[in-house]
Amino acid sequence: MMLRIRIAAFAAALLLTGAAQTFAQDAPAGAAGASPSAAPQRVVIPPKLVHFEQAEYPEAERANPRDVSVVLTIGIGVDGKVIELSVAQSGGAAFDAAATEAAKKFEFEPAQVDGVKVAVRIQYRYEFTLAAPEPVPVKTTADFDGVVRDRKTHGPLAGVTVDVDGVASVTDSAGQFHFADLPPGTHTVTLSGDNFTPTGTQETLLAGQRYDATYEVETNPEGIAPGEQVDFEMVIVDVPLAKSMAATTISSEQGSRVAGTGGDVIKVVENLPGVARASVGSSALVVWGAAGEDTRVYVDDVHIPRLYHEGGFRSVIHSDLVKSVELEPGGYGAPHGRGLGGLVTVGMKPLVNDGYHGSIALDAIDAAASVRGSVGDQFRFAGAVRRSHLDWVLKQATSEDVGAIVPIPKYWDSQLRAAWVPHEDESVEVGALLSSDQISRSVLAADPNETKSDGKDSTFDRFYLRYEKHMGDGGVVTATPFIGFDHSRVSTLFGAVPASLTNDATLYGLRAVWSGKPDEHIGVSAGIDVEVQDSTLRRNGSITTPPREGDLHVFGAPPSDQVNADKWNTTNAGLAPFVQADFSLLDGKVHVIPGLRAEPSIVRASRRVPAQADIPALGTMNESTAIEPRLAARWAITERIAVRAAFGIYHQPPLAEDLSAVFGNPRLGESKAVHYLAGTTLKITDAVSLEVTSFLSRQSQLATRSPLPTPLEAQALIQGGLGRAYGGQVLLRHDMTSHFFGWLSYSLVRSERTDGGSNQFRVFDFDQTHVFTALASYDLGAGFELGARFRYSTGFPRTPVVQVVYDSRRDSYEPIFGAHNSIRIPAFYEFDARASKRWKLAKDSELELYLDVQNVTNHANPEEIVYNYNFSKKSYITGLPLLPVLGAKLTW
Amino acid sequence: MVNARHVGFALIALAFAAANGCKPDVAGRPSLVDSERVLAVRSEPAEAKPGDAVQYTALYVGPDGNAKASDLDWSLCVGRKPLAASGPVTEDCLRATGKLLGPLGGGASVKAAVPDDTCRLFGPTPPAPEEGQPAVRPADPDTTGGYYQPVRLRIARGGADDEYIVGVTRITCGLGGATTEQADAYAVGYRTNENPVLDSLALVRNGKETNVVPGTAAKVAPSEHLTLRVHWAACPTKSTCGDGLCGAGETIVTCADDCTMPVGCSGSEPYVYFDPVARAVRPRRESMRVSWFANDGRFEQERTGRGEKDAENAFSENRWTAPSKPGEVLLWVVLRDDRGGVGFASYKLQVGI
Repeated sequence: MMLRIRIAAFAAALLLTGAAQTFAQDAPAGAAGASPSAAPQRVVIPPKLVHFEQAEYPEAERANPRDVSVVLTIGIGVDGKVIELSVAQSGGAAFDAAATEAAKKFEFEPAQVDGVKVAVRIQYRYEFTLAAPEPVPVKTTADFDGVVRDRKTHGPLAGVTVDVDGVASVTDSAGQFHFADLPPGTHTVTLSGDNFTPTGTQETLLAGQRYDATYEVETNPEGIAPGEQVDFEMVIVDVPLAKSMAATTISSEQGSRVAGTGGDVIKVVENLPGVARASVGSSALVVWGAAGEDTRVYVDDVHIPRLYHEGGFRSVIHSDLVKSVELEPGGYGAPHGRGLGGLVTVGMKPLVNDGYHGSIALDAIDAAASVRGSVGDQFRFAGAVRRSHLDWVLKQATSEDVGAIVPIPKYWDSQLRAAWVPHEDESVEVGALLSSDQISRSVLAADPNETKSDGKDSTFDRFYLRYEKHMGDGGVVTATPFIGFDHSRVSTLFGAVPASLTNDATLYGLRAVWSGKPDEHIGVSAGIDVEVQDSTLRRNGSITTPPREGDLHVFGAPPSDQVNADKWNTTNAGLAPFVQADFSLLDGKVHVIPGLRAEPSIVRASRRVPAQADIPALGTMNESTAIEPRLAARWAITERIAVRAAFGIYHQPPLAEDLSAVFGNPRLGESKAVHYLAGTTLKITDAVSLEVTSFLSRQSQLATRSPLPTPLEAQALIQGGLGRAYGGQVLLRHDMTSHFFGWLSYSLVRSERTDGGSNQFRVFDFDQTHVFTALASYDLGAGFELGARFRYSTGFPRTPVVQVVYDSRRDSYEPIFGAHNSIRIPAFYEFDARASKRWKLAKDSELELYLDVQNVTNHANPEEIVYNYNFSKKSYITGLPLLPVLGAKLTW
Repeated sequence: MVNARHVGFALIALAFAAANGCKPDVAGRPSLVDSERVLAVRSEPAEAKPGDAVQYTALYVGPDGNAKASDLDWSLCVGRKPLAASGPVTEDCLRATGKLLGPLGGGASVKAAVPDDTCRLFGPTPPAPEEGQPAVRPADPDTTGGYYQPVRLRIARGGADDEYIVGVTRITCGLGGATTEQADAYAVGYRTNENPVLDSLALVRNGKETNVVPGTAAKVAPSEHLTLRVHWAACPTKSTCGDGLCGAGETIVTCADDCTMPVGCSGSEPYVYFDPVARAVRPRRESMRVSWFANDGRFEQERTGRGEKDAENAFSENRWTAPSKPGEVLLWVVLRDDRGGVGFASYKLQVGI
């Protein structure tokens, strides 16, 4: 039997509101109740709604918004479930359907009569109201959500305490945590749990923004007793900022484990897609077919002139201070410029207040140490130093004068950082980045013309001040003024033929950036990038010593003995305001990132013509304004598939070395490049991703040799060269899982140039059409780890010698060349391996011993072509044979 | 703990790698005359002014003596090479014929006149610019401050197999880019170059020298290791009036005896040059270079010589190993100074009894 019950009290329980839609449910109309006059009086308890389902305002009716009521008749069984449903009063088909669909999911406490559950039928009114959206208050706080996972298994970690400036949240079974309404600014985030060492990092939250972070932590490995703690590094996997379109970022933790790098995080750049393999002894970085000097290197916001020490054995920044290294081979955004090639950014670890730590490392090549700590809550510091001893090691290991054959570099570097953090949203850091390299060798001979010596000194110093402030509105302001001193000197003496180039430069720089989010869907960065470089140069020797790109020459041949000399100084100044926006569309699935950079600049040279008797020098100044639009877009088609594209115009000022009135051209202006790229990213699994990128870079206004036998005065170089590089790259990457990480990288790059006065393209001197790298690292457990790397690359192009001429004055044969860069050095391939073992010595301290073996198969890789005295025979200089390097590192 | 044996292995391997990983062995033996070759080209005089007459002589030899001189085809090269091009001359001069070639004829020796515009072509005088165009870059000097008129020698072998040799005459052109005072100092101090002359070749055994007389075969034992020593004139480092040499600073006014018919020294001459770095006129001395050739046996060094700093030693020596088989060995020695002067001589050695 069914009772008809009027349940007027229902209304309050069913009244719910939403942000955009409001549903008001009155007491069901027409519900029957028991007669108050009936006797004996029965105790009737009406059904009680315990689960309400909200009906959606029908999509088809949104164009015609109005208030609509639908009255439903709902039969409720003794179990509280809806057992009967019909429309008693229609509001229209769409509204009826929506109300019915929602009511099916209602659940009730069944009605009772005298304590007995009974089935009843009620009437229920659904009222649909599409309310006008209320103004959304501007949110001045930020939400911070995230998940903590095991770094090896990628599984969620429950029970991890996430602390944000003293406010704690514990991860749930899905490893998730949540903080609401945090004040904007920089917050110290610490993670702690039973199974790993507490660790911390800093996160910058913007007002009105939800920040999603994923942290991966390394739980105690096998062999570590419960309660013991091991040092580890927290890897921030997902950085919720719009990334550039072709960047590859490697964390310090992975980079230091790659075979063949000797534990140097930054050396891993050589293994990234788009980067040509540097020949043995070279520190050049050829990215997407651009010349080495075309790729800019930054340590945070400070421009440095080089990434590696001479010889390419080590980078110039200690790995302990490095958080990550990122390579953008092209298409980067408006905040950076002045380079036609790629962009390498070394991110330094934030200085945090987590005690004192340090390391000492030693191997056959160099020794290094680092330390970091804090004084009180507000003062933090870090420093590192490294010095090579390879020259000393070789003297102990062999009686041969190895340095006479292979120049052995001597180098040192040091980084010092100190920060004052008066508040968590404000910091001031001062720092110094210092680096020095020296190479020299001498070869004596019975023939005075065969006596050779060469040397190279290069140093750079950078001193910077970095101010960072997180504004109350969620904006962030950073300002980094810096000053730098660069010195380089290259000198050779081949018989009586000297050649030297000395460059002493002072660099003044400022990068000031404001980043904010004026709207929920728009992020903006605007700032100014200033660099002023004053250089004083001296050069003497042949105009072709050292050879520049495009010069026809053979390795090791005596230089031309037609010599000259010049002293000059230059000023190169650029002031570039820039702005870049990030429009987030379709719930963040699409990012469109337009940018604009304008750079008025001057290039001044002290001498417009070569020195003539005692005529005073007249200088020259070249003014220009470069307008550089940039545009990038990224569309996440699904959670696993994204496509991206970018375009940008870039300019690069002339090198101070090229502004000589004798050896170059003081009127040279800026060179230009246009980058186009497109690609896709496929996340195959949580750990495995595939990136494919194609690109085209067109360069113009390049400085090249004058082709004339009698060039105009002060025009040894002319500005008419063209360049183009095109191709693609593939990166199949396996992130760190329980025991394994690695990647396969393949680049197909064709890079070409024209020579002065010609439109005929020829292959770029440093072109490597195919570059393939496969590397992997496997954690065996118990502190053992194995790594391997395989590299293949096309040999560098060279120009064949097709004939010779005997120069009787110099008693030497000189080559006559065939088609420019029409042959290649044989391809390079090498297999490297690394094995390491870590021992836990005490709380927070560890000893690692590693053996890094380069060229395991002892393959003789040709690195350069050499000829006999009359070019009738040729052979190859081969690279390093099997080269094991044993090293140890103690950290605490 | 670090295993010491492993460290030692790593260090040794590293040294081994650096020492042996990069050494190709393709040097060859230019001193061995096993085919017909031009070993040197001499200009007489070694230095000349525009319009002067010069005579070019080639030392053209073969394994059994002199080669066929009629193979030689001489031309003056009258075009400058591109600024950054390698080689001694423009490739346009390395052809059988061409508009930049001034034919001189054939044979072991030819005569020529230094072109009147040689200082514009190859010297410090800037070529005339085209109308409305800025000035044109002059040629750069060599490390001795010298400029050279090239002469091209072709040995016809058939098309692409033709051999090309370039000799030079140092040209007297004055200074480019110097002040009047510097130019005056240079004019007073500079003396035109003389070709060096080989005074003697001696066999050195147990410290004793035995001169080899040209045209007469000196005897050596099969497989004998011996020292060959050549001498040239010792030039005074300071000019002395009356020494027969018109040295730096001497003029017909200050030393008429030496400078009325100026004669230079046939050894390592002192001279002045314009230092482009210091932009000053500086004194220097020639370095000497000896190229050794033989049709058999083996020299320890392909070339020897004296640098500027030990130029007072007017000799140079080389170790030579005689062939094991008896017979006559032909020996050629070429002496060069670094201002383009060339001298040469040939000798015979009799191996065995």
